[in-house]
Amino acid sequence: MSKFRKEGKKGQPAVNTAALPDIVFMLLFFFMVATRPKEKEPNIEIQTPGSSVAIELDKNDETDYLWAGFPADGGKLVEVFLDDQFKPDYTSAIGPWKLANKPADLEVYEVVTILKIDDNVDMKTVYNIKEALRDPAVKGYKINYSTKQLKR
Amino acid sequence: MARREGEEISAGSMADIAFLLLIFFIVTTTMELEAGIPQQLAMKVELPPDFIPPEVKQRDVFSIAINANDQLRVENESHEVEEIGEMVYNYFTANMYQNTDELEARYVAYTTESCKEAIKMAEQELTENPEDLIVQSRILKWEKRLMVCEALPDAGYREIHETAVVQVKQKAKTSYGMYISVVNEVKKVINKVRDEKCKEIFNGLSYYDLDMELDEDQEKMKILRVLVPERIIEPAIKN
Repeated sequence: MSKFRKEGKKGQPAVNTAALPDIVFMLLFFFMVATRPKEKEPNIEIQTPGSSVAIELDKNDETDYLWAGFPADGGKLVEVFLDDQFKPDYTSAIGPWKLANKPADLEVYEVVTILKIDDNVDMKTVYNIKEALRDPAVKGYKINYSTKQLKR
Repeated sequence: MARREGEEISAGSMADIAFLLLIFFIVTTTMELEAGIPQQLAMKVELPPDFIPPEVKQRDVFSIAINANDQLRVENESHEVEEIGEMVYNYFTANMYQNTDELEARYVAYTTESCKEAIKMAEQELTENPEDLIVQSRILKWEKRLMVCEALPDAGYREIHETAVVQVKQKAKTSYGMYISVVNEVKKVINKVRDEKCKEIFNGLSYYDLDMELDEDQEKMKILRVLVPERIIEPAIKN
C-alpha cells in the first residue's frame, strides 16, 4: 500500500534544460519588438487629459518630450521641462533645444514634439510653448497633445 | 597536434545571457503605447502690408469661447461641453447637399473645369511674382480640389466654404483640460462626418477602418481630408 518510495539510489532524473534558452530568447524577442524605451520623467505631477480621438503614435516617429505640470511638493507654479531639464525660461529655451535635438538626417518639422501637459495648466503657458515652436527659425510645427485614451 | 573531434561549446550560460537581456528590456519597456491628438501648427508668416484678408461671413464661423472659469459660450450662448458635438455636426452638415440653411456654413460646388481654370489663373499670377507664398499655397489648395474632382464619379463635389472655421477662443487662465475636451468634441464630429462621407463614396467603408499602412487607403484619406476639412483656429490669447 505504501505510496512513498523509499529513498532509492535512482532519485529524480534531472529536467532537461536544453530548451530553456529557446524559451528565454522567445520572451526576449517579444519584449524587444514590443518595447518603446521609457522616457526620463521629471519629478512633477502630470495628469494628462482624456480624449477619444487620440491616435496612437507611430513607433518610428522621431520624438521630443516636453512636460508641463505642477511640482510634486504641491507648488502652485507651472514648471516646464524639456526632456528632463527644468527650464524656468522655457520660451527662449525651446528653440535651441529643438535645434540641438534634431537628428542629422531630419528637419525639425519632421520631429514630433510630444506635449505632456497637466489638466490644470493654464492655456497661457500652452500658448507660449506653441508660439515658441512655430517660430520660423525653429520650425517645430509637428506637435502632439499626449492624452489618455477614452472610449469612442 | 591532434584535434579532438565533436567537442561542444557549453551552451549552459546561454540562458543566463538571454535572461540578462530579457530583464533589461522588461525594465526599460513601457507597454502602453503613447497616444495623443496630433496637431500641425501654422507657420508664422509676415503678411505683406497690402494683403487684404478674405471677407468672412459670420455664418461661416463656428465660435467657441472658453472663459477663465472654464465656462463655454458656443455661438454666443452658454452651453456645456457635451452639447457642442451636436451643434458642430449641424454646422457642418446643414448645407452639405443643398444650401438651404441660411444660418449655417455655406457650401461651394467645385468641378474639374472650375479647378483647372482657377489653377491656370493662379499660375498666371505667379509668373509675375514667383516668390509669392500666398499664391503658391492657393495653387496647392486648388490642385488638391482637382485631385478630388477627378477621383469622384461626378467630376465635382461640394465643399464647405474656405473661410469656414471652428474658432476656439481662450483666456490666459483657461485650463488645458477644458481646451482638450473642447478640441476632442470638435474632432469627434469631424471624424463622424468623414465617416459618413467615406461610407457614401467608398461603398460603405468606414473611416475608422482605414489602414494608413495601405497606399490606397492613404489616397482615400487624402480625399476625405479635402471633402471634410478640419480647420480649428485659435486666436492669440490677449489676457
